[in-house]
This record gives sequence, C-alpha cells and structure tokens, in this order.
Amino acid sequence: MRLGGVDPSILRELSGVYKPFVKAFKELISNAFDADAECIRVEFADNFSSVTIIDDGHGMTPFEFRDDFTRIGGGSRRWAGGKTLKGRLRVGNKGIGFLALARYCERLIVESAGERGFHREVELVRTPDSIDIPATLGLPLSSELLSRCLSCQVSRSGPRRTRLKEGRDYTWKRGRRHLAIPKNVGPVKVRLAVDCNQLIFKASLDFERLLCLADNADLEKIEDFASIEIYDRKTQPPFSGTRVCAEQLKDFVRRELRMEQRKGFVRNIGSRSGFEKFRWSLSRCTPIPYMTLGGDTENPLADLLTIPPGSALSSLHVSHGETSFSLRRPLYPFDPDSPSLPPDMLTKAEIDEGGLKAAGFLAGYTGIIFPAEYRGLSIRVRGVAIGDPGFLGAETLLTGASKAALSQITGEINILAGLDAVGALNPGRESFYEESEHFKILRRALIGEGERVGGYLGGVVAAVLRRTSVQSGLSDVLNRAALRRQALEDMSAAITQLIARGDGTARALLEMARSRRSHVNGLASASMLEYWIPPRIGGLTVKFTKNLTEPATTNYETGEVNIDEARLNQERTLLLFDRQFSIIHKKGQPDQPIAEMDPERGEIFINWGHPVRLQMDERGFLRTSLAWLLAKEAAKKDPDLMMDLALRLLSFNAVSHG
Amino acid sequence: MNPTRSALLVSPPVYDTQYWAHWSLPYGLLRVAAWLQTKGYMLKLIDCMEANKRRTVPRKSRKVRKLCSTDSYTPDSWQGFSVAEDEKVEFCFGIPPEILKKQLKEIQKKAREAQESLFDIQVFPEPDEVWISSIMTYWWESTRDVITECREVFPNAVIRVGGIYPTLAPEHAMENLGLQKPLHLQGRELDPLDPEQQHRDIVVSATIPDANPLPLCLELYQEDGAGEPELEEGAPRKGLPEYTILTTSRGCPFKCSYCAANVLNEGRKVWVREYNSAYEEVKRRFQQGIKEFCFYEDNLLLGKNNFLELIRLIAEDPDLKGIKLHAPEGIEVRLLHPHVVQLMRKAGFGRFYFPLETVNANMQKKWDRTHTNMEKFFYALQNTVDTGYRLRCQDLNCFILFGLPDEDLQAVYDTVVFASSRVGSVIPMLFTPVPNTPIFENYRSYIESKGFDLQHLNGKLLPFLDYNRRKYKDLSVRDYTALESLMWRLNAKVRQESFDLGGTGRVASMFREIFVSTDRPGMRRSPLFLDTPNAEVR
Amino acid sequence: MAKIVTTQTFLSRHVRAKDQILLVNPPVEETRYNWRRWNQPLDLLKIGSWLKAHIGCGVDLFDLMQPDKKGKVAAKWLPRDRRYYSIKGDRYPVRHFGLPYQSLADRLVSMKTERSEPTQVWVTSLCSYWYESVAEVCRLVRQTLPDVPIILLGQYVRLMPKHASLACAADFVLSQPFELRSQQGAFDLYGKNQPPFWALQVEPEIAVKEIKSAVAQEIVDFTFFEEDICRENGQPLIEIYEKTRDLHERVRFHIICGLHPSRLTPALARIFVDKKFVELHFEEDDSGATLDIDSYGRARAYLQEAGLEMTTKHTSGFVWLGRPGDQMEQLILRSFQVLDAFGGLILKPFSPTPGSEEHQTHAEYLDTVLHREWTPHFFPFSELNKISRQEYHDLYRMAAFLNERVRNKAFDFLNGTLGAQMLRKSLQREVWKIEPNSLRLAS
Repeated sequence: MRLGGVDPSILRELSGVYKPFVKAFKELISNAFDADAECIRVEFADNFSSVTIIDDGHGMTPFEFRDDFTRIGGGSRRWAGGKTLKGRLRVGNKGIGFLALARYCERLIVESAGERGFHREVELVRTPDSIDIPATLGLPLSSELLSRCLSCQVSRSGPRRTRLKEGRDYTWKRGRRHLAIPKNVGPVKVRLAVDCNQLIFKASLDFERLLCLADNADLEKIEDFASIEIYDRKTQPPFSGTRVCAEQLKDFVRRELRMEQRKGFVRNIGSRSGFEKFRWSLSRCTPIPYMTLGGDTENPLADLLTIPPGSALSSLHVSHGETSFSLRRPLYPFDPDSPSLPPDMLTKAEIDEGGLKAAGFLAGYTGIIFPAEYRGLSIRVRGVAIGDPGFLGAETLLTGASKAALSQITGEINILAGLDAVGALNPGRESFYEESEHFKILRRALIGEGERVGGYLGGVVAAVLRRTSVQSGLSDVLNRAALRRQALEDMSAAITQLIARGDGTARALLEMARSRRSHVNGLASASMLEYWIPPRIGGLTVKFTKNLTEPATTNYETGEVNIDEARLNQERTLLLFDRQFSIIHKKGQPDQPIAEMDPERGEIFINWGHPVRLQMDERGFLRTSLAWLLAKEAAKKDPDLMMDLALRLLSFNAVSHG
Repeated sequence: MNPTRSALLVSPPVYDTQYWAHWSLPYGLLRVAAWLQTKGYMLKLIDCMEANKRRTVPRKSRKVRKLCSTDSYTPDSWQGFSVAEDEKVEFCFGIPPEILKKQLKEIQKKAREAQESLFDIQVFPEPDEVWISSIMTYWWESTRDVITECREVFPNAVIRVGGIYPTLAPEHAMENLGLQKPLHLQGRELDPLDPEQQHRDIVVSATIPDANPLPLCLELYQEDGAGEPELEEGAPRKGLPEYTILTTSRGCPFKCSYCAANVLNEGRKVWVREYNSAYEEVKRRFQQGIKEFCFYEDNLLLGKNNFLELIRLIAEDPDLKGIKLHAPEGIEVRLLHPHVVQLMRKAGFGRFYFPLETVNANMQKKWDRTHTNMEKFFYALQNTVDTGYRLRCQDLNCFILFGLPDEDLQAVYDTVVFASSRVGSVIPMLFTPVPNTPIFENYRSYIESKGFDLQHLNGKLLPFLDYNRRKYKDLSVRDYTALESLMWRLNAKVRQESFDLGGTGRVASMFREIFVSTDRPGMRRSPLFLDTPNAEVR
Repeated sequence: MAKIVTTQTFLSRHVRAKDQILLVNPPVEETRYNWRRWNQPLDLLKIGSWLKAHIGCGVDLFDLMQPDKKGKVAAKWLPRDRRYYSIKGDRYPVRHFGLPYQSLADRLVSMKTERSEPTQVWVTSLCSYWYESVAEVCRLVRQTLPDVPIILLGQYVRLMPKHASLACAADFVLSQPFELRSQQGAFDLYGKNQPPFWALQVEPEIAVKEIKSAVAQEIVDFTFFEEDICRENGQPLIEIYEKTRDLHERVRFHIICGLHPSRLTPALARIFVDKKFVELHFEEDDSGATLDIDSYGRARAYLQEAGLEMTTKHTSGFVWLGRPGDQMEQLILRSFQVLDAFGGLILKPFSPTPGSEEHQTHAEYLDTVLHREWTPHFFPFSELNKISRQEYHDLYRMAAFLNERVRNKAFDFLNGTLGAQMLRKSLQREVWKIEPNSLRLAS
C-alpha cells in the first residue's frame, strides 16, 4: 500500500510534533471521537509493552483507511469546520495523526470495518486489453471478495455512450481480478462499486521501517511500510468500530509509564506514578465529560461549564492489569482535596466578539493550589485543552506578590466558536498561533493589553491579593491580641499560684484583690487608647460580634471582618484570684505612673505613653507594668516585699513560649 | 577487555539468642564492594541485617537450644511457649532465608525482564558471582542457608565467602557450606580476572589488602545504587545509613590467648590507613548527611599518631560540627594519655568502652594479657574523668569477660563489683572460644568430647558450663544467669546515676552490712522468712 | 471565699434537673508520677451517674488526665523559668502531666460559642499537695465563664476544706463525701473516646455490671480503687472474678493498691494464680516498728501453695520510704524482706495525709513545711528523719539495682546461691578499694 506521496523526512519532522507520548496518544482518541465513538477503552498490556484503543464508532472501510488515515493532509478539510456523520465538530488531526505515534512504538495495527460503499470511475482514452481491478482499487482484494462485493459498469465514453454488456462485450478473468474487453471500442469508462458491508480489514503500519527509510531517503521502498489484509466479514468474529493497537512501545515510554510514585510527601501530579501522570494528562487533552462534585448539583460552576451536547465522549476507560479507570476532565474546584471556593473569588468569563465565542470561569484561592498542575487557565477548543494551563504571558508581566498570586488561580475557558481554524492552532494543537485575530481577542479579554495585567485575570489577581492582605492584617491583629492576652494570663496565673501557696505574700495579694478603696491619681482621666483593633483591615470594615465559633470571620461580599467580642473582652479583664478587674488602656503622659489601680471600681489603667514602653514589646510592657502595679499595691510600701513580689510575678510564665 | 561481571553481595541474617543491631553495618562486605567496583563490577547488595530507624532488626523464633549441649528442638507452637531454665530460644535476626529467596527471585525476575526488553541496561542482571560475608564462627549456619538459597535461584553464579568465620575456620567452611569444589584462597591471592577463579566457588581467608584503604560503598543502600546522579553539595543523600564504620588500622601486636586478631590479620603486624584518606571519607559522608561514625579496630590507638592526626582534623574542622564518634570495640587503655582523651572528647567521642576483662592478675597472666594491667586501667580512667567524662552514667563502660573454662568466678564477681563501683557501667561479655586461638586449642579435647560444632560454642550457650563443674561442683545455668543479670542490674539508673555498691554513703555501707550479714552463720535475727521459725503457714 | 458545705447539702439545695454540669479532672504538676496511667476520676464518674439518675441534670466530663489508646498520659516540662523546684539545694524538674490547660480553656470557649455552656463546673482533686493545678483549673473556669459556679470535691478538699476554700477561687467546697459505692461509674461520659482501662470498686453487683459493659466495648483492663481489696475475707473479689472469668479471654486485672499481705487468704491466692491477674502489688504491712514478717511469710506461702510462679507474673511489694521515723537500716532490711517475699520491690515515697495520725503527731514539724512540699517525692520528713534527699535517692538506686529483672529473673540475693556468696565475698573484701599500687589481689 502506498503512502500519500510525502517525503519521509517531512514525516519524521511531523511525527516529532507530538511530545510527550500522551500528546501523541491523544490523536488516536481524537480519531475515535471523530468516528462518532461514544465509549473508548484504552488497554495497556501488563508490562506496558503495548496499548490498544477500542472504540464503538462507525469504523472505517479499507478505502477510508487508505484515503484518510494514512494520507498526510487528508484530514485538514475536516478540521476546517467538518462535522462527523453524527454532526459532531471534529477534533481530529490535520491529517497527520496516525504519524503521531511513529516515534513511540514500532508498529501500529489497525482493525476496522465500515458499512459504507466505495465508488471509483476510471476513464480510459483507449480500449485496454485488460484492467487490473485490485490495482485500480488500490487495495489487495481477493477474487473471492471481489466476486461478492464488486459491481461494475463498463460503458463506451465519448459521443457514443453505450453500456457494454458483461459476457458479450467484456469478460472477467482470473476470478474478477482482471476485466478484459476483447474488442477495441475506443475510449471507455469503468465504474467500480465495492460494497464494504462485507469487508473487514487489518492493517499494519511499520514505523520502525518508515523512519528507517526516511533516514536512508529510500523513496522507492516507501510503499513497503504499510500492509493491509482484507477479509470477508462473515469469516471473522463479530466486530464493529475500530481497534488500534500500538505494539512494542519504545523502552523509554514503558519506563515512563512504569515509573513509581516518588518517595516521601507528594502533592503534585508530576511526582506521582508514570501511569497516573499519563491518565491525568490524557484526561486534559481529550473530549470527555467533566468530573462532578459529588451530590452538589447547585454548584455555580455547573452553569459556566455547559458544553454543547454531543461534544464529549460518554466514557473513556483506561485499564492496566487489574486496575481500570474511567477518566473525567479534572477541575480544581471539583477536586475532593480543594478548599471551598468563596463565591466572590469565582469570576465568570464570557467572550463574544469578532466571531470568537468563549465561556468559562476563573477562580482564586486563599492558599496555593496543589497539585500544581491545576494552576493556570485551561483553554479548550472543541472540548480539548490546548497545551498546558497557563496565563497567556501574564506570568512575565507580573512581579512580586501579584506574581505569587498566580499560584492561587485556576480557570477553565471553553471556546465555543472561532479559534478552531487551521490558522489558529499549531499541528499538535499544543498552542495558538499568536497572530490569529481570535487569539488576540481572547488574550485581551483574559489578561488585558499592554504592560499591565487586566481583563478577567487582573480582577482575580486583585481579589487574591486583597484576601492575602486581609489575612495577614487580621492574623497580625489577632496575634498581637493573643500576646497581650497571654501577658494577662501570666499575671492572673501567677497571682493564683502565689495565693494558693498561702505564704505571706499571698495574704497581701488577696487583700489587694479584695480591697475596695480608691486612690487613683490622674491616669483615669487620660485619654483612652483603642489601639488594638484598626477600623479597617485590608480594606474590610471591622465589626464586633458576639459568640463567634472562631476568633474572627471575614465576609468579602459584605466587606466586613467580624471579630469575636467576647474573646476580645477577655483581653480587657484581669482575673485576680476571684475578682475580675477591667484593664483600661490609656494614652498617658511620660511622667505619669506606668499603671494605676482603682480597686473600688475594679479598674486597672495602663499607661501606654510611659517611656518604658519604648524598651519592650506589647506583651513585655503589659507584664512589666502589671507586675510593678500589683507588687506596689500589695506590698503597701514594704520595699522588700514589693521587690520580691515583682520578681515572682515577672518570672512566671503560664505556658512555654517558643 | 573482560566483559563487565556482576556480583550480588549478601550479608546473611544472624541466628542467635540475642542480638544488638546497633553497629551492624557489614563493613567488610562494603569494603569488598568498593574494591570490586574498582574492578568494574556491577553490584547489588542485600543486607539481611539492615536495621530500621530505631536501629533494630526483625526477629523470628527459630529453635530452642539447650545450653552447653548439642540438643535443640522446635516446639509445636511458639504461642505461649516458654523455655526451661537450661534452654534459650534461638532467633533468626534480620531477613530470614525464605524471605531472602523471594528477594533473590525478584532480582532474577527483573533481570530477565530487562534482558528481554534490551533497554533496561541499568537493571542488575543475574549475577555471575555471589559474595557473602560471614562474621562470627558460631553464626556459620545462616551463611550455609544463604548459600543454599542463592544456589537455588542462581545456579550459574559462583560463590565467594569471606569474613571472620572463613578466616578462622576455612576447613570447616570448605566442608560445611555446601560449596562446589571450592578453592581456598587468602585475600591477597584473589584475582577477579583469573579465569580459574572465575569458575570456582572460593573460601576467602583474611583481608584483601587492596580493599583495606577503600571507603565503604554505602551507595549500595540507595535505591538505584551508583546510578543515581550526584546531588548538590551538602544535600543529604536518601537511602544512606545513618552511620558508617571507619577502620583506620588492622591487626594487633599482642597475643591474648582468647583473641583471634592475629589469625585474622595473618600475624601481629599492624596495618594503618593513611589519615588523610580517612578524613576525606569522613568529610564526604558528613556532607551527605551521615553524622555518626563508628571506629571498628582490632585495637584503636595502636596507630596512635595516625589516629590522632585524623581526629585532630575532625576536631578542628568547623564543617564537622555535630559529628558523633564511637569506638564500641574497646580501646587500648595503655595509650589513653591526657592529651589523647582531650582530643577525642573534642572530636566527638561521647563514650568510652574499656576492655577491663578482669581485675584478677592471675587471670590476666593466664590470658597473656601482658600489655595491660590495673595501673594502666586506672591511668586511663583518671584521664577520662579529668577530661569531663562522668562516672556512673554510661559515659564510661567496662567490658567484663566471663564464661571461660577454668575461670575463677570469684574473680569475675570481684571485677563486676570493682567496675560497677569505680566506673558505674559494666557490659557482660560471654566468652566464645574461637578456632585457631590458643585457648581453643587448649580445650579442644573437651570441645570434641561434647561433640560441639561451632554453633554450639556461642558464649551465650555457656559451652564451658560442664567443664567448669570440675571446679564448682554444683555450678548451674542459673549461676551464670544470675551473674549476667547482676551486671545488667548494676547499670539501672535513678536520676541519671546507678547504684554504687562500694559507695561510702550510708545507704551503700548499710546495704553491704545487711547483705553480708544475711549469710552469717549462727545469726539469730535473720531477715529471711525461710530461716525464720515463726513464719510457718497456718 | 468558697463556701464549705457537705455534698448532701449542696445536692439538695443547689442542683436542679435543668442544670448542665461539667465535671473536670485536673492535670497534675509533679516531679515524678509513675502511676499516672492509673489516674481515673472515679468519684466524678460515680457522682456523674448519680446526678443523671437521681436529679436528671445534664452531665459532661473533661478528663485532663485521660491516657491515650496506648495508655500513655501526656507529659511536658514546665516552662523553663519555673521548671525546677528547689528544696534545700536539691533541684527537682517538674512536669505537667495530662492535657495542657489550654485544652480546657478551648473546650470552655467552644461550649460558650455553641451556647452549651455548663451551669456548674465541678472540679475534683486528688493528693492535697497537687492543689496548685486545682487552683489553676478554677482560675481558667472563672476567667472564661465568670458567672458559672465552681464546685470542688475530691480527696484534697475533703481532707483540707479550709485550705481549698482559701487557695482556690471556687464557690463551693464539698467537704463531706457522699456514699456512692452502689453507683455505677458513668463511663459513658467518655463517649467514643473510652479510656484504656476502667477503675472499679470491690462491690460485686456493680463491678460485674461494669465489667460486662466494658468488655462489650472491647475494654478488658481493670483495676480496683480500694483501700482493702481483700475485705470480707476476699469473698466480694472472688465473686467478681468468678462471675466475669468467662466473659473474655483477655480480661486483665491489675492489682495496684489495697492488697495487704496480712489480708490475703488461700482462696484469694488461688484466684490470683489465674493469668487474668497480670500484676499484684502488695502494700506494706507493719507490726509495730518492723515488718509484719508473719503475714509476709504466710502470703508468700499461700501464693506458692496455689502454684503461683513469681517469675511469670509481675508481683512486687511496696516499701514505704520517707515516713516519719524512717531508719535507714530498717528500710534496707525491709527491702530485702519484701524482695524475698514477692520477688519484686517497689519503693513508695510517703506523704502524710492531712489530719492523719502522722500529721497530728508531727504537726509542729509539718507546719514548717510548705504544703506544696508535702509531695512524697520531696521527702517532707527528710529533715526530721535526718536522712538526706540524696540518701533517699540512693535508696531508690539500690531498689532499682535489687529489682531489675533479666530474662524475667531477679538476682537471688538471699538464698545462699553461689552468686550471692561470691557477691558477699567481693563486698566483704572491698574489692573496689583496689588501687594500682596495692593491687595484686590473691585469688
């Protein structure tokens, strides 16, 4: 069987377009899809030495196989808007798909059958002695098959168009393999029709040989690389659809597939086993249905991902040994390990401009996305991802925190119209041609123009950054509050312990805690310090609420941070054995006391304007001022007792730190 | 050029009643591996004694051995089984032969698959040679079992057995290991390229001189062996053991009657490894994440100047901060001068192990321990304490040898009490007679009369119990168990210190007084119920 | 200051069916706590079950001393700056045993936010010298739930109600316990997170029910919290054993307290031989100034007669250490005697029970000792006895030396074995005194 007349060295070049193996492999899935298959099974041999793809599509006749499957460029028409018999938009190759696997296996075995006929008309200017029918049909059909499937019309062409009659004007020789016209009747036209219903074929493409020929540039032998055998369908086991087997996968392919998951902690797909990586990649570049979020039918994403009916396979099963997997198109928000997506971090994307129609979503997360392979925008044409997810060049425009935010963004854009022209995609469908007008529109809508990132992505990056700043602002506020609270805890626990131990200091402390006299001296009237919570954190308004289950919650929709008041109030109270004192923070003068106590009203004033504050952090200052105050109040002017108490209080830590 | 040969290296499991898997790296085998690598061999290691992170190996009950006897049996069920007083359970420590066989078959399967695929050239092929290290003479049975399994899986491979056992008892090895017409060679006679040797099983005695200075080939513990690419400098290497073993000298000029070092090293000559190469090895391994180094020497400090140079380099190297050095094999007390100890502490030696063996001068003499005496022991002890090593907390430890024929048990007790009181930690060492040593020859007729093979001579099986009954009529297993248990209990610590039997405090002196008085004949006020008349059962 | 009331009074006046009561078992701060895995708040469990049954209020439990599945209780050093407690120059590192205080604070906060805060918090207590952690628990509760009354119960407050009312910021101190022996423990309060063992009392009717219920939940380890487990000649214990022996193959009894040599009967010895009794620890029995040798001899004879092999079971006897009037010689002698009787020896440091005879006799002396320092590990009678803490530690070392087993066998110090004779000889000859110059011991 002869190949469509292209220089083998070009074949070699073209076959190199598909890297890695899975990208080449997907072409076979595309072919099956274009043959209107619904279910495809991919079966690896136990040792990954071969892989078989079985589909339930409409199959191929041997003639279609020859004309389309093995012919370079034969499919380009189809991509350019062709539809399948069922009316699907084709995703198949540009006519070089079968070559895709040339570098990855030694031989491709194709078995198929199609229930369509084949017609051929031959016009001859002179009456030939005999016509070689198999040669005319271009396929090795046995005389037995020919006698059953072939019908033939021979007519005189030219002005005297008359049909010739079998037996009288022409005869069959060698069992319908040769047609002989004994009389010279001038120019003739022969119309051959083959009823392929009866035929099933098994073809073998010997890539090893093809590439070897290409190396030797031995064009004479080029026809030898493919062989085909055609059988009577009745003599074969029942069969429909197509079965393609890539035999003797190359060693490096097998090794890749066999590779085990990397040892230790693994988060990314890239570190998983070879077979898992293969399945993941295949699930991204083949037209299969989305994975679904178990039970959640109300998911807002469901609307954004509507894809036209019939544009996906019903199932794609991949099996190896005992294990079998039904592939689904992966989406980070549907991944069982992904955190829940706040509604305001989900951006709906819709483009309808200049003939380009696209729809999908972008999603930002507060944490970094793992596995890393989910990061980026996945752009699909006819349900198939074009290349790996990325940010269409925004990566190079952004810097610093904005760039870091990209690792928290994922997205999915389905191209519904446009961008599927030959001129827009490279042959491996791995990238868009940047000069394509449609691509320019897409890019502008997604990431904006010029040196700043805008568009949908710009919005999502801004949302991610806002969250990050709110989170860090809030955790700063909460951490500082926790440290101040810790200082009060330390004091309170120290007093409790000293009182419990029951020595002389205990009595003094207990008396102080229970005292009701008032002897403040000015600090009470100093201005208040509400330093601990800023009114806005990361642009959100701070509100105080009661009984939150967490210390704080954020609501980006309403633009509010809610902080649990009860917990904060703890920070404003100091339990001295069994009596609660209010801690009141004051912006006093440097020459005012560091702290004052009003036992009558149960209040303690802390002077944050005291110069000692400059020497220490908030926790340290709070501890020091309280220790000083409590020691002074309890000691009642006994300097030894005061020193002893102050030291004991200062040296007490309720829990270990650091 | 010879085609590349392939060798499978196996460190066999251990059949014994006890095993401490702390420094069990098969350093001889790993050094031979390094040597074979220089000869272009393709290697694979199966270390049946590879310890886990907690430095233990799995164990499986094997049989019950009667002490001082050739009798053994396997109980019907191990569930709830307990041994009689004169028996011990022998375990298989490490990977047992039947599991080893599975691993061998796995290697074979992979090798054959790779052979068929023609691509996996990195895969270890079916070996041409199997090298087995065999350590203690009384462990020889596991070597035999390993050979049987290797033979069965790789019938075409030739076997090489080296190590202490084949050195000390080559004839025994030639006869009993199931080798086929083996050659007996000295290590120095080995020549991997010799076609005659290539087709014969070999029993190797003594060391391979060319291998001695080579660093251990620890890379064999890594998943892909030597095929793994070199990582960035300083990155810890996965799969390497946590420690390694260094040997900077071999041989010992002395000739203690129970020791086999002279036989192992073909005489009394001491070979010393040049310190620079050892230092380079330490540095490289440290960078790869190995922080612990263990010196295995016949007699550390004999190549003193060389050794000191090495540890000086280690002590002064800021890159080696946090290194831990160990010398668990004992140390030549005679040479522990103050500056030596100071340097050793600075370099990272955390503990010292003194081969005290006995305090009894007669025994010392009898054992030809001419080079050491108590004076030297005290000298070493004083120097270590002065340098900051603490007593009574296992910084300093004494080996005490017992279970010898004709031993003076009182001398052993004396030694125990002495060591415990003066040092604080004692490590009991039950004596195993080693073929080719003077002591072995002296008692050969007894050994033969008992019908003992090497495995029966394991010290833990008390081979000289019957012999010593000539001197102590009622000597029983219990007496040895008691002695051993006494030594362990002396190490029990409270608030990081052990009890000082000879202490000057009130507790120790009163303890002694009461304990000694419990046996005073004619004592009226005995604390013991059995001797107390009014403790009758009502 | 907390009000001191009897349990009876409190229950009748202050607890209503609508109350929601949280029971808390506080953590322990101590230098050593070897028996911590046996800490179980049996009094809380019993009163919890009584409250549910008789008043019908809601009950919750937070046991900070709960061991994990493997029987391990969390332990952490105290913060560095107060890690060591110094007593006359001896430094004792102190650890926090049990869950951290923060876990209680977190639990209270979450109860508050879930609107399920208790209306009362009951805190139990154990040894009186551990009162500091009780005080801290009270503080935490008061801090988080300022309006919720705190009720203290347990041994400490029973023995020292006044101290407790001063030392702890509680509202009520329940001075008189309430008879609850006939009440089953409310182990259901642990929910799915059951402790690895259940503590019982020797009350056949109750204990058998409890054991059955525990076994149904795959809990097979039991111990008894009793002063005298051999009471009524051992009949109740035998009854419990006989009614539960066939329940589960792996049922195990740990006799860790309340077993007195003098109270052992032949019948009890016969049940102790069963594998189900995995450990037997005998209390120390005196006859005046010396050990009650008769009882020990008898107990040992009963056990031997019943066929008990000391080597296969963990048997041991306690010897008190640090009692007032300790005589060094007596302590060592007793150690030998107990070792001889039961093959194992455990020194048990002594602390005077407040109000006990020892306390009253030595009240004046004890007044000079801070109550915090009554912990037995600090040997509060050290000065009185003129035995230094170092010496007490030496005694511990001696006990460790006497007690350590190798291959499950203890060294037989006493039976005239070859080893014992030779050890004596070595000690008599003072072999540790060998000096390099004088050396050449004749053999």
